[in-house]
Amino acid sequence: MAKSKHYRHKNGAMYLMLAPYLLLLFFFGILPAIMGVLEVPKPSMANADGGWDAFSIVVQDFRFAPAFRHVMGFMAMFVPLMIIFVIGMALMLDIKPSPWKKWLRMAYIVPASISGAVAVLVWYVILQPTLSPIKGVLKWFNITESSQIWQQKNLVYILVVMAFFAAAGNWILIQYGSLQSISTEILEAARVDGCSVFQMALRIKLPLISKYIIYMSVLVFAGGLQIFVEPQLLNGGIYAGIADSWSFDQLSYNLAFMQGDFGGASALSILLLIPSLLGALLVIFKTDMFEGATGHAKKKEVEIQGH
Amino acid sequence: MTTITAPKKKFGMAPKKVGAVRIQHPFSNFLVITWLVIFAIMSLIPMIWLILAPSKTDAELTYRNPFAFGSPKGYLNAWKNLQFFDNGVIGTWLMNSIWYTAAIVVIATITASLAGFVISASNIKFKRTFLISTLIMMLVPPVALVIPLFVEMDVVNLVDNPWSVILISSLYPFGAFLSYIYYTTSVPSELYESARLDGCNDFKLFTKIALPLSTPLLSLLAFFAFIGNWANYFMPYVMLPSSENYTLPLGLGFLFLSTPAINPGVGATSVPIYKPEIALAGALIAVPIMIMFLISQKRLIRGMLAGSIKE
Amino acid sequence: MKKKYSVMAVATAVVVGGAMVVPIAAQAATPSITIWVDAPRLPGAKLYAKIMKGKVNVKVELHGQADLLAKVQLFNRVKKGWPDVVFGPPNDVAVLKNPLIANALKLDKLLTPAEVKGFGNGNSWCKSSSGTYCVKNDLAQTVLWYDVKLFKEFGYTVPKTMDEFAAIGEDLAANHPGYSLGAVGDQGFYATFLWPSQCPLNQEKSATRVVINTKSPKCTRVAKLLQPLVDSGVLDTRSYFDAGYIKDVGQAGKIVANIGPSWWGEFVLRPAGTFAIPAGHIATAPMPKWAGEKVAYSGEWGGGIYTVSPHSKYPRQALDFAMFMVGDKRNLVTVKNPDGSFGAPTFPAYTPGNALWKAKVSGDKYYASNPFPAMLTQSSKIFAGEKPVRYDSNGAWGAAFAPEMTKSKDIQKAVDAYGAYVSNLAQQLGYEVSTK
Repeated sequence: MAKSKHYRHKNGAMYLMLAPYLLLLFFFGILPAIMGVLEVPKPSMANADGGWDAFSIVVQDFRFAPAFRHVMGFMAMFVPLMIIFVIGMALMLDIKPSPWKKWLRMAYIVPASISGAVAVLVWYVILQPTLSPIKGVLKWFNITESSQIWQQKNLVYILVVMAFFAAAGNWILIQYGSLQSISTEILEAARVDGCSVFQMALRIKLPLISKYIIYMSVLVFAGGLQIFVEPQLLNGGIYAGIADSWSFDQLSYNLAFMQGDFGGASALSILLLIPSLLGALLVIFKTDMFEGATGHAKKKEVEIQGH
Repeated sequence: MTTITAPKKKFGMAPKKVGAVRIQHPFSNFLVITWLVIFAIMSLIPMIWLILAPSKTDAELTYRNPFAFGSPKGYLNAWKNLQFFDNGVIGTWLMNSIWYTAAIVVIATITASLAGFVISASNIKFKRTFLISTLIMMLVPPVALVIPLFVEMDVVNLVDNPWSVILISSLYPFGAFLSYIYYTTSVPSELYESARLDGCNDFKLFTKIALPLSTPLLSLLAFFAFIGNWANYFMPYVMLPSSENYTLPLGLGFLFLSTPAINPGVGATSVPIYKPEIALAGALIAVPIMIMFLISQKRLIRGMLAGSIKE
Repeated sequence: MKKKYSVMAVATAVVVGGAMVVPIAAQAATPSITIWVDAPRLPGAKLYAKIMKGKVNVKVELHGQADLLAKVQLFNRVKKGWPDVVFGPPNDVAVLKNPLIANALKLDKLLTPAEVKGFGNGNSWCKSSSGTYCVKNDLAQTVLWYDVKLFKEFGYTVPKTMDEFAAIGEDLAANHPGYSLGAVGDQGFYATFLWPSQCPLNQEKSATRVVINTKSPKCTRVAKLLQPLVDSGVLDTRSYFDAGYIKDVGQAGKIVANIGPSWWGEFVLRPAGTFAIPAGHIATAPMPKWAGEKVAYSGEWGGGIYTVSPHSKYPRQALDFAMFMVGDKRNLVTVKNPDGSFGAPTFPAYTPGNALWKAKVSGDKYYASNPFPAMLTQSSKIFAGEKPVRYDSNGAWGAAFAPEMTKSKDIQKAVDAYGAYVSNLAQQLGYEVSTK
């Protein structure tokens, strides 16, 4: 009896430390999300009588099917590319950490620091054969005329490259950080056992940072599904409109802000959330993502029972 | 207690590891380094262009080599054109950006790291629910939340008040989850158990055990909170309709979007904002991000060093 | 004359304002209004705030052009925050006056007869069967821009009809390869060819019906006449603002003539960053006429509007600001802009206003001859069948027309692609789409 009181007391402090985040999560996360769901059946120009058929209306929107095709094509390239490349880069950086390599890591995050209206200009210039600082690369692909670039069939490749450069640097930084958390004893033991660099990466390092990799995979998947910034940037360039409602999130944005249809936008957002969430939960429960959380819970159970 | 210092030892060990690799694969090591450098150069090309662009005039940008340098006067001219817009209101926007972002970084980093710690170290109820809802918040498309957030802010009378943006952006589920993973992988739970037996209460558990091990985490959290919010456009756009409350990216966005450099359909303008001006602003917005990177990088290494020196 | 006008405007403002706002105690307090403008309109708006100090409290906010459309739903939800008067792109009025949004005040009763008369045809864009819902800031009527030196060198006369225009194109292709009559890969194609030809693309007939018919003879004649010029490269399939086109054609001095809006000379032909055509080359002429037509119509490329919020407590004061911007010499001619120029950048929609503004371009030595008369002629000839619509008819040029143009280089195909795209958009927004 005394013991359980002691426990409750201890958790009081824990709850207190959790409270600030919990408040933010509730008021700026959960509550608005619920309100967002309630937004769906409200009447709009597309859904004049209102009601939950907002879901079917948005799926039947003539821009939905093309957006679906675009995003699937994009994901098929972007997600594997990101995961393999980022982990590869982080492992390579980790082979021989030395102070000067922080400049490399800094270089990798530079593309992410160019945003908004400035990014519109930068990407237009890069992709324009007459202005481009990478003229040589474009020429190598046999591109000398802007008309070879600004075609809708090329957008998916361009967007993969754009999204890749915008996101890769940050994730390299995180995964490099995660590799730093591996204890040296383990690495040393492996080396003594005669592990090569490759074996060390595959058998020792990767399993040890698997939680970070799962975390990244979930967010890269969701991020790919919700690709918005890059097509919106292209769409704001000289060839304005070329990527109009190209992705789901753009369609959702257009519904909300161009057509004033927040119900439709919310409905689409919910539809988008489902695959990300299913994927995330599946991956997480199939792996030991919650090991820490459940591990403690089990321990507590044992303790209480033992008492 | 050896496990606490274990991660720190790594720094001292590094040279040994290097030697081993070099002997094993001198050539593949060279290839790896070459590739790392090539990718760095690829990443830098847009920024190099941005930095050089203001040295040229708008016309020179079309016909001169993209990497050619115009003249130092170009920067001065572009800077003047940016400055003289609306009596230097850009200075106000810059100050706003600085203080909003600073507030967000502080609140977000503290709340997220505390949350991650509590979830990994405690046995409170609803842990799983809590983690899953944090995960959901990361996955929800922001457009869906705009109207509800706006309505909420209106209820508490914070529309057009910077605190609306600061509070909303301080919710940092990405950071909370990251710190949860960090604490579960880097701090063995036995450590907490033994500290508890030594009579540590929960606050002390955080300040004495977790916090000293958190330097790399905190600098990572702060850095990502910074870059996420320094260039944030959407929330200030929705919440702050008055010009005097704009952030730098928002104000410049409005300015740039009404110039033909970005949007030729606008056509006519009497505002002297062309490609060089936009490039200069872009380079200037990126500079603080680089500075923040270097600061957090230093802290990351200093944290490790401090440990090894103590040893 | 100029003075008299502004005095009259103030007088009518007082009268109408008094009549509109039923005498309440609050009437004694200074009215206050909030204004949203984009960057080019900011100097004029700030000047207005200064002038009105003590009479009206004017709060000026810098915004992007499309901002109100994005935010009005938020304001509607919390039932406050609407700006009193807003500068925006021309199409927005259709969305704003929609009963679901309801943020464009019907101005018929607010505008004085003198003001209505002063606009002449200049405000017809803002008029629909149900009333007048906005005030046009500037007109972007198309005219023919041509290079007098090249015309003389090649021995051309100014084309009076579209057939003559096309004939010049054929001669260029045959005898002067590399020279251009413009580009067709963007929204400009609508303003410069399709709209003047009366091709029905966004003809809103009522709040629930729009006519879109790319198979109409008024559309197909455009493709028929111009396709050979596209094939020969005299009409370039890139955008006018494509860096390649600017470099290879514009800056190379190879544009012999092109149809363009009234702001074309000042902001595209002249600036060093775009076509950089030297002084003494450029002149304007009225639009060439399509065969069988009585009137040489113009289309419009741009031209902003002011809308007043129905939630404004001081609608007449809000409208006064719009009238200041389109009719007052202090904004049209004397206000100093951040780039060092003076006055309003574009052709005022208000007749007394453009009479004041005229001097700004008429005496400009850059032009080979006074470009104003042709602009004035065309200002009353913008074909009024095309209307503001609730969908983004401008964005659709980039989304559907331009990509097809780049791909197939086939005008009719690209116009059909546009028609199909906007038909879908229109239905999505509750229009019935018909071909007649």
